[in-house]
Amino acid sequence: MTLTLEIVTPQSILLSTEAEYVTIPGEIGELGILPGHIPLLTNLQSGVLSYKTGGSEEKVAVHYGYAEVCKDKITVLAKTAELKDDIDLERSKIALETAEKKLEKALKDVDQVDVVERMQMKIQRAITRHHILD
Amino acid sequence: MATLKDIKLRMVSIENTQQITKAMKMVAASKMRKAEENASQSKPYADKLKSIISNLSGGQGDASHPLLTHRDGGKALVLLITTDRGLCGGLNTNLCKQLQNFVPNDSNNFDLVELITFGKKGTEFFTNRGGSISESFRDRKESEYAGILGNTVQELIQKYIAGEFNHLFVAYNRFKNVISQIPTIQQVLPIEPPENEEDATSEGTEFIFEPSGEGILDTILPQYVENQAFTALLNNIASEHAARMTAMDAATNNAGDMLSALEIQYNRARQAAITSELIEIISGAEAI
Repeated sequence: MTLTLEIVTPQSILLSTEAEYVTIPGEIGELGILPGHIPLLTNLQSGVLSYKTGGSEEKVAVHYGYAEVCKDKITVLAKTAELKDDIDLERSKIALETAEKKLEKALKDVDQVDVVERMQMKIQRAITRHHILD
Repeated sequence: MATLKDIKLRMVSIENTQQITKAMKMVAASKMRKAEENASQSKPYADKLKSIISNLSGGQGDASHPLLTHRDGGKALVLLITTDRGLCGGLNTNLCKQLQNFVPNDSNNFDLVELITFGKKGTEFFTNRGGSISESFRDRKESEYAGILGNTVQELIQKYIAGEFNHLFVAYNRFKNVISQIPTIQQVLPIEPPENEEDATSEGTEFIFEPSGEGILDTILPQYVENQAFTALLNNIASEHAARMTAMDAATNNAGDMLSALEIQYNRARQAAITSELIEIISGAEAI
Protein backbone atom coordinates (compact mmCIF):
# COMPACT_ATOMS: atom_id res chain seq x y z
CA MET A 1 0.00 0.00 0.00
CA THR A 2 1.32 3.44 -0.80
CA LEU A 3 0.45 7.04 -0.13
CA THR A 4 -0.22 9.64 -2.74
CA LEU A 5 1.65 12.83 -2.00
CA GLU A 6 0.79 16.10 -3.65
CA ILE A 7 2.47 19.42 -2.95
CA VAL A 8 0.54 22.41 -4.22
CA THR A 9 1.62 26.05 -4.09
CA PRO A 10 -0.33 29.10 -5.27
CA GLN A 11 1.83 29.09 -8.40
CA SER A 12 1.68 25.46 -9.43
CA ILE A 13 1.50 21.81 -8.50
CA LEU A 14 5.07 21.31 -7.41
CA LEU A 15 5.09 17.59 -6.89
CA SER A 16 2.76 14.65 -7.30
CA THR A 17 4.13 11.25 -6.42
CA GLU A 18 3.64 7.91 -4.73
CA ALA A 19 5.40 7.35 -1.43
CA GLU A 20 5.64 4.70 1.26
CA TYR A 21 6.33 7.01 4.15
CA VAL A 22 6.09 10.78 4.53
CA THR A 23 7.17 13.11 7.32
CA ILE A 24 5.69 16.58 7.39
CA PRO A 25 6.75 19.57 9.50
CA GLY A 26 3.57 20.21 11.47
CA GLU A 27 3.18 23.32 13.57
CA ILE A 28 3.51 21.46 16.86
CA GLY A 29 6.03 18.93 15.73
CA GLU A 30 7.07 16.57 13.01
CA LEU A 31 4.46 14.07 11.86
CA GLY A 32 5.23 10.73 10.30
CA ILE A 33 2.49 9.44 8.04
CA LEU A 34 2.13 5.85 6.94
CA PRO A 35 -0.63 4.37 4.79
CA GLY A 36 -3.87 3.94 6.70
CA HIS A 37 -3.50 7.10 8.75
CA ILE A 38 -6.76 8.59 10.02
CA PRO A 39 -7.91 11.90 8.47
CA LEU A 40 -5.85 14.79 9.75
CA LEU A 41 -5.55 18.48 9.08
CA THR A 42 -2.63 20.49 10.37
CA ASN A 43 -0.86 23.80 10.04
CA LEU A 44 2.68 23.66 8.77
CA GLN A 45 5.75 25.54 9.78
CA SER A 46 8.81 26.04 7.68
CA GLY A 47 10.66 22.76 7.58
CA VAL A 48 11.78 19.71 5.71
CA LEU A 49 9.23 17.38 4.22
CA SER A 50 10.76 14.02 3.39
CA TYR A 51 9.28 11.00 1.72
CA LYS A 52 10.47 7.50 0.99
CA THR A 53 9.79 6.02 -2.36
CA GLY A 54 11.33 2.84 -3.76
CA GLY A 55 14.00 2.72 -1.07
CA SER A 56 15.34 6.23 -1.62
CA GLU A 57 14.50 9.26 0.50
CA GLU A 58 13.73 12.61 -1.04
CA LYS A 59 13.50 15.99 0.66
CA VAL A 60 11.47 19.08 -0.12
CA ALA A 61 11.49 22.43 1.69
CA VAL A 62 7.99 23.59 2.53
CA HIS A 63 7.36 26.96 4.16
CA TYR A 64 4.07 27.45 6.00
CA GLY A 65 0.66 26.34 4.88
CA TYR A 66 -1.51 23.31 5.56
CA ALA A 67 -1.45 19.58 5.12
CA GLU A 68 -4.44 17.37 4.76
CA VAL A 69 -4.31 13.60 5.15
CA CYS A 70 -7.36 11.79 3.88
CA LYS A 71 -7.66 8.22 2.66
CA ASP A 72 -3.99 7.65 1.94
CA LYS A 73 -3.74 10.91 0.10
CA ILE A 74 -1.61 13.69 1.51
CA THR A 75 -2.21 17.13 0.13
CA VAL A 76 0.26 19.79 1.18
CA LEU A 77 -0.84 23.35 0.54
CA ALA A 78 2.36 25.31 1.02
CA LYS A 79 2.73 29.05 0.81
CA THR A 80 6.05 28.37 -0.85
CA ALA A 81 7.94 25.16 -1.45
CA GLU A 82 11.22 24.29 -3.07
CA LEU A 83 12.59 21.04 -4.46
CA LYS A 84 16.14 20.19 -3.51
CA ASP A 85 17.46 20.99 -6.98
CA ASP A 86 15.82 24.41 -7.02
CA ILE A 87 17.58 25.68 -3.93
CA ASP A 88 20.36 28.14 -4.54
CA LEU A 89 22.72 27.90 -1.57
CA GLU A 90 24.62 31.10 -2.31
CA ARG A 91 21.47 33.16 -2.60
CA SER A 92 20.04 31.63 0.50
CA LYS A 93 23.21 32.44 2.50
CA ILE A 94 23.05 36.06 1.41
CA ALA A 95 19.36 36.24 2.28
CA LEU A 96 20.09 34.78 5.71
CA GLU A 97 22.81 37.33 6.39
CA THR A 98 20.72 40.34 5.40
CA ALA A 99 17.74 39.03 7.34
CA GLU A 100 19.87 38.59 10.46
CA LYS A 101 21.20 42.13 10.16
CA LYS A 102 17.73 43.57 9.71
CA LEU A 103 16.44 41.55 12.62
CA GLU A 104 19.17 42.87 14.88
CA LYS A 105 18.28 46.41 13.94
CA ALA A 106 14.55 45.85 14.29
CA LEU A 107 14.92 44.27 17.72
CA LYS A 108 16.12 47.58 19.13
CA ASP A 109 12.98 49.33 17.95
CA VAL A 110 9.68 48.71 19.68
CA ASP A 111 7.62 49.81 16.68
CA GLN A 112 8.96 47.16 14.38
CA VAL A 113 7.30 44.06 15.72
CA ASP A 114 6.07 43.04 12.29
CA VAL A 115 9.54 43.42 10.80
CA VAL A 116 10.91 41.17 13.52
CA GLU A 117 8.29 38.59 12.73
CA ARG A 118 8.96 38.75 9.01
CA MET A 119 12.70 38.44 9.48
CA GLN A 120 12.31 35.52 11.82
CA MET A 121 10.26 33.77 9.19
CA LYS A 122 12.90 34.56 6.58
CA ILE A 123 15.66 33.16 8.77
CA GLN A 124 13.61 30.05 9.45
CA ARG A 125 13.17 29.52 5.73
CA ALA A 126 16.91 29.88 5.12
CA ILE A 127 17.68 27.41 7.89
CA THR A 128 15.27 24.91 6.34
CA ARG A 129 17.01 25.24 3.00
CA HIS A 130 20.40 24.61 4.57
CA HIS A 131 19.04 21.56 6.37
CA ILE A 132 17.99 20.07 3.07
CA LEU A 133 21.34 20.55 1.42
CA ASP A 134 23.31 19.09 4.34
CA MET B 1 -12.99 64.36 -55.57
CA ALA B 2 -9.93 63.17 -53.70
CA THR B 3 -6.75 63.54 -55.68
CA LEU B 4 -4.33 60.70 -56.26
CA LYS B 5 -1.94 62.10 -53.69
CA ASP B 6 -4.62 62.34 -51.00
CA ILE B 7 -5.59 58.72 -51.47
CA LYS B 8 -1.97 57.59 -51.43
CA LEU B 9 -1.32 59.49 -48.18
CA ARG B 10 -4.32 57.92 -46.54
CA MET B 11 -3.27 54.46 -47.62
CA VAL B 12 0.20 54.93 -46.13
CA SER B 13 -1.31 56.08 -42.86
CA ILE B 14 -3.65 53.11 -42.67
CA GLU B 15 -0.78 50.77 -43.45
CA ASN B 16 1.17 52.20 -40.52
CA THR B 17 -1.78 51.74 -38.19
CA GLN B 18 -2.19 48.20 -39.41
CA GLN B 19 1.42 47.43 -38.62
CA ILE B 20 0.99 48.72 -35.09
CA THR B 21 -2.21 46.78 -34.42
CA LYS B 22 -0.65 43.65 -35.87
CA ALA B 23 2.36 43.99 -33.57
CA MET B 24 0.13 44.65 -30.55
CA LYS B 25 -1.90 41.59 -31.37
CA MET B 26 1.15 39.38 -31.45
CA VAL B 27 2.52 40.82 -28.21
CA ALA B 28 -0.86 40.34 -26.53
CA ALA B 29 -1.04 36.77 -27.80
CA SER B 30 2.26 35.79 -26.26
CA LYS B 31 1.51 37.60 -23.00
CA MET B 32 -1.87 35.94 -22.87
CA ARG B 33 -0.38 32.49 -23.15
CA LYS B 34 1.72 33.16 -20.09
CA ALA B 35 -1.07 34.83 -18.14
CA GLU B 36 -3.46 32.03 -18.95
CA GLU B 37 -0.92 29.49 -17.74
CA ASN B 38 -0.49 31.40 -14.48
CA ALA B 39 -4.23 31.57 -13.99
CA SER B 40 -4.76 27.88 -14.62
CA GLN B 41 -1.81 26.81 -12.48
CA SER B 42 -3.18 28.66 -9.48
CA LYS B 43 -6.43 26.77 -9.75
CA PRO B 44 -5.48 23.51 -7.97
CA TYR B 45 -4.40 25.47 -4.92
CA ALA B 46 -7.62 27.45 -4.82
CA ASP B 47 -9.72 24.32 -5.25
CA LYS B 48 -7.89 22.46 -2.53
CA LEU B 49 -8.17 25.40 -0.15
CA LYS B 50 -11.89 25.48 -0.83
CA SER B 51 -12.37 21.81 -0.09
CA ILE B 52 -10.40 22.07 3.16
CA ILE B 53 -12.56 24.96 4.28
CA SER B 54 -15.75 23.15 3.46
CA ASN B 55 -14.48 20.18 5.47
CA LEU B 56 -13.53 22.46 8.31
CA SER B 57 -16.61 24.60 8.53
CA GLY B 58 -18.77 21.53 8.04
CA GLY B 59 -17.05 19.81 10.93
CA GLN B 60 -17.30 22.84 13.15
CA GLY B 61 -21.05 22.97 12.78
CA ASP B 62 -21.57 26.52 13.99
CA ALA B 63 -20.18 29.39 11.98
CA SER B 64 -18.82 31.34 14.89
CA HIS B 65 -15.71 32.74 13.29
CA PRO B 66 -15.93 36.51 12.64
CA LEU B 67 -15.06 36.03 8.97
CA LEU B 68 -17.98 33.64 8.57
CA THR B 69 -20.70 35.62 10.34
CA HIS B 70 -23.10 37.78 8.37
CA ARG B 71 -23.74 41.36 9.39
CA ASP B 72 -26.58 43.34 7.87
CA GLY B 73 -26.51 46.88 6.52
CA GLY B 74 -23.48 49.11 6.69
CA LYS B 75 -20.79 49.67 4.13
CA ALA B 76 -19.87 47.38 1.28
CA LEU B 77 -16.37 47.61 -0.14
CA VAL B 78 -15.64 46.61 -3.70
CA LEU B 79 -12.15 45.79 -4.95
CA LEU B 80 -12.36 46.78 -8.58
CA ILE B 81 -9.69 45.24 -10.75
CA THR B 82 -9.28 46.79 -14.19
CA THR B 83 -6.42 47.31 -16.61
CA ASP B 84 -4.01 50.23 -16.83
CA ARG B 85 -4.05 50.43 -20.57
CA GLY B 86 -6.84 50.60 -23.06
CA LEU B 87 -7.16 49.20 -26.58
CA CYS B 88 -8.72 46.06 -25.24
CA GLY B 89 -12.27 46.37 -26.52
CA GLY B 90 -15.12 46.76 -24.08
CA LEU B 91 -13.40 44.87 -21.30
CA ASN B 92 -13.20 47.64 -18.71
CA THR B 93 -16.36 49.43 -19.75
CA ASN B 94 -18.47 46.31 -19.45
CA LEU B 95 -17.19 45.63 -15.96
CA CYS B 96 -17.57 49.24 -14.79
CA LYS B 97 -21.10 49.49 -16.19
CA GLN B 98 -22.09 46.34 -14.40
CA LEU B 99 -20.59 47.71 -11.22
CA GLN B 100 -22.51 50.95 -11.68
CA ASN B 101 -25.72 48.98 -11.35
CA PHE B 102 -24.40 47.42 -8.20
CA VAL B 103 -26.10 49.75 -5.75
CA PRO B 104 -27.91 49.26 -2.48
CA ASN B 105 -31.41 47.91 -3.02
CA ASP B 106 -33.94 45.79 -1.19
CA SER B 107 -32.49 42.40 -1.97
CA ASN B 108 -28.86 42.97 -0.97
CA ASN B 109 -28.37 44.20 2.52
CA PHE B 110 -25.87 47.03 2.52
CA ASP B 111 -26.42 50.79 2.62
CA LEU B 112 -23.53 52.24 0.67
CA VAL B 113 -20.78 51.16 -1.67
CA GLU B 114 -17.19 52.27 -1.58
CA LEU B 115 -14.51 51.35 -4.09
CA ILE B 116 -10.88 50.41 -3.95
CA THR B 117 -9.58 50.47 -7.49
CA PHE B 118 -6.69 48.64 -9.05
CA GLY B 119 -5.82 49.87 -12.53
CA LYS B 120 -6.15 53.20 -14.28
CA LYS B 121 -9.24 52.52 -16.37
CA GLY B 122 -11.56 51.72 -13.50
CA THR B 123 -10.21 54.63 -11.45
CA GLU B 124 -10.88 57.07 -14.29
CA PHE B 125 -14.33 55.71 -15.00
CA PHE B 126 -15.54 56.20 -11.45
CA THR B 127 -13.68 59.47 -10.80
CA ASN B 128 -15.46 60.99 -13.78
CA ARG B 129 -18.82 59.73 -12.58
CA GLY B 130 -18.42 60.68 -8.95
CA GLY B 131 -18.09 57.23 -7.44
CA SER B 132 -16.66 57.15 -3.94
CA ILE B 133 -13.16 55.74 -4.15
CA SER B 134 -11.32 55.24 -0.91
CA GLU B 135 -8.04 54.05 -2.35
CA SER B 136 -6.64 53.55 -5.79
CA PHE B 137 -3.56 51.98 -7.30
CA ARG B 138 -2.53 52.51 -10.89
CA ASP B 139 0.31 52.29 -13.39
CA ARG B 140 2.20 49.50 -11.67
CA LYS B 141 3.78 46.35 -12.99
CA GLU B 142 1.70 43.20 -12.92
CA SER B 143 3.97 41.65 -10.31
CA GLU B 144 3.70 44.72 -8.08
CA TYR B 145 -0.07 44.60 -8.17
CA ALA B 146 -0.01 41.12 -6.66
CA GLY B 147 2.02 42.37 -3.70
CA ILE B 148 -0.12 45.45 -3.17
CA LEU B 149 -3.28 43.40 -3.45
CA GLY B 150 -2.01 40.95 -0.83
CA ASN B 151 -1.22 43.74 1.63
CA THR B 152 -4.50 45.52 0.99
CA VAL B 153 -6.50 42.39 1.57
CA GLN B 154 -4.67 41.70 4.82
CA GLU B 155 -5.46 45.22 6.03
CA LEU B 156 -9.06 44.83 4.93
CA ILE B 157 -9.45 41.61 6.89
CA GLN B 158 -8.30 43.43 10.03
CA LYS B 159 -10.73 46.27 9.33
CA TYR B 160 -13.51 43.81 8.65
CA ILE B 161 -12.96 42.09 11.98
CA ALA B 162 -12.92 45.51 13.64
CA GLY B 163 -16.33 46.14 12.06
CA GLU B 164 -15.45 49.05 9.75
CA PHE B 165 -17.43 47.53 6.91
CA ASN B 166 -19.75 44.58 6.54
CA HIS B 167 -19.24 43.22 3.04
CA LEU B 168 -16.35 42.82 0.65
CA PHE B 169 -16.65 42.11 -3.04
CA VAL B 170 -14.16 41.78 -5.87
CA ALA B 171 -15.11 42.93 -9.34
CA TYR B 172 -13.02 41.54 -12.18
CA ASN B 173 -13.19 39.92 -15.58
CA ARG B 174 -13.22 36.18 -15.29
CA PHE B 175 -11.20 34.50 -18.00
CA LYS B 176 -13.38 31.86 -19.59
CA ASN B 177 -11.59 31.49 -22.87
CA VAL B 178 -9.86 33.61 -25.48
CA ILE B 179 -13.03 35.10 -26.89
CA SER B 180 -15.10 35.29 -23.77
CA GLN B 181 -14.33 37.18 -20.58
CA ILE B 182 -17.11 37.48 -18.07
CA PRO B 183 -17.51 40.57 -15.86
CA THR B 184 -17.90 39.16 -12.37
CA ILE B 185 -18.76 40.65 -9.00
CA GLN B 186 -18.00 38.12 -6.34
CA GLN B 187 -18.59 38.23 -2.62
CA VAL B 188 -15.48 37.58 -0.59
CA LEU B 189 -16.47 38.61 2.94
CA PRO B 190 -18.29 37.31 4.85
CA ILE B 191 -17.06 33.97 3.58
CA GLU B 192 -19.78 31.73 2.31
CA PRO B 193 -18.65 28.25 3.29
CA PRO B 194 -18.17 26.62 -0.11
CA GLU B 195 -20.30 23.64 -0.95
CA ASN B 196 -18.37 20.43 -0.94
CA GLU B 197 -18.29 19.57 -4.62
CA GLU B 198 -15.77 16.82 -4.20
CA ASP B 199 -17.90 13.65 -4.13
CA ALA B 200 -17.58 11.47 -1.07
CA THR B 201 -13.83 11.45 -0.51
CA SER B 202 -14.07 13.38 2.71
CA GLU B 203 -17.76 13.00 3.37
CA GLY B 204 -18.56 12.08 6.94
CA THR B 205 -14.96 11.57 7.96
CA GLU B 206 -13.93 13.00 11.30
CA PHE B 207 -10.72 14.95 11.01
CA ILE B 208 -8.11 15.39 13.69
CA PHE B 209 -7.09 19.00 13.82
CA GLU B 210 -3.65 20.07 14.84
CA PRO B 211 -3.27 22.29 16.82
CA SER B 212 -7.08 22.81 16.84
CA GLY B 213 -9.96 23.45 14.51
CA GLU B 214 -10.15 27.09 15.51
CA GLY B 215 -6.41 27.50 15.22
CA ILE B 216 -6.43 26.30 11.65
CA LEU B 217 -9.56 28.27 10.81
CA ASP B 218 -7.87 31.43 12.09
CA THR B 219 -5.05 31.15 9.59
CA ILE B 220 -6.78 29.43 6.70
CA LEU B 221 -9.73 31.79 6.31
CA PRO B 222 -7.64 34.92 5.70
CA GLN B 223 -5.53 32.81 3.37
CA TYR B 224 -8.68 31.87 1.47
CA VAL B 225 -9.80 35.48 1.14
CA GLU B 226 -6.38 36.50 -0.09
CA ASN B 227 -6.33 33.64 -2.54
CA GLN B 228 -9.69 34.66 -3.99
CA ALA B 229 -8.45 38.18 -4.59
CA PHE B 230 -5.24 36.83 -6.10
CA THR B 231 -7.16 34.52 -8.43
CA ALA B 232 -9.30 37.47 -9.50
CA LEU B 233 -6.18 39.44 -10.36
CA LEU B 234 -4.66 36.62 -12.40
CA ASN B 235 -7.95 36.13 -14.22
CA ASN B 236 -8.17 39.80 -15.01
CA ILE B 237 -4.64 39.91 -16.39
CA ALA B 238 -5.35 36.93 -18.64
CA SER B 239 -8.64 38.57 -19.72
CA GLU B 240 -6.86 41.83 -20.54
CA HIS B 241 -4.45 40.20 -22.94
CA ALA B 242 -7.13 38.01 -24.49
CA ALA B 243 -9.42 40.99 -25.04
CA ARG B 244 -6.57 43.05 -26.47
CA MET B 245 -5.66 40.26 -28.82
CA THR B 246 -9.22 39.96 -30.11
CA ALA B 247 -9.61 43.74 -30.43
CA MET B 248 -6.33 44.15 -32.27
CA ASP B 249 -7.10 41.24 -34.56
CA ALA B 250 -10.36 42.93 -35.53
CA ALA B 251 -8.55 46.24 -36.01
CA THR B 252 -5.97 44.64 -38.28
CA ASN B 253 -8.69 43.04 -40.38
CA ASN B 254 -10.62 46.29 -40.64
CA ALA B 255 -7.51 48.14 -41.73
CA GLY B 256 -7.04 45.49 -44.42
CA ASP B 257 -10.61 46.01 -45.66
CA MET B 258 -10.14 49.75 -45.80
CA LEU B 259 -6.89 49.37 -47.68
CA SER B 260 -8.45 47.23 -50.39
CA ALA B 261 -11.35 49.68 -50.77
CA LEU B 262 -8.90 52.58 -51.06
CA GLU B 263 -6.78 50.67 -53.56
CA ILE B 264 -9.75 50.31 -55.91
CA GLN B 265 -10.49 54.00 -55.52
CA TYR B 266 -6.84 54.82 -56.19
CA ASN B 267 -6.69 52.72 -59.36
CA ARG B 268 -9.92 54.25 -60.65
CA ALA B 269 -8.64 57.74 -60.07
CA ARG B 270 -5.34 56.91 -61.79
CA GLN B 271 -7.20 55.43 -64.77
CA ALA B 272 -9.46 58.50 -64.95
CA ALA B 273 -6.42 60.77 -64.97
CA ILE B 274 -4.82 58.79 -67.83
CA THR B 275 -8.05 58.82 -69.83
CA SER B 276 -8.51 62.55 -69.50
CA GLU B 277 -4.87 63.16 -70.48
CA LEU B 278 -5.34 60.97 -73.58
CA ILE B 279 -8.49 62.87 -74.56
CA GLU B 280 -6.59 66.13 -74.25
CA ILE B 281 -3.75 64.90 -76.47
CA ILE B 282 -6.07 63.42 -79.08
CA SER B 283 -8.32 66.46 -79.29
CA GLY B 284 -5.20 68.66 -79.48
CA ALA B 285 -3.87 66.56 -82.40
CA GLU B 286 -7.21 66.72 -84.20
CA ALA B 287 -7.30 70.49 -83.96
CA ILE B 288 -4.02 70.76 -85.97
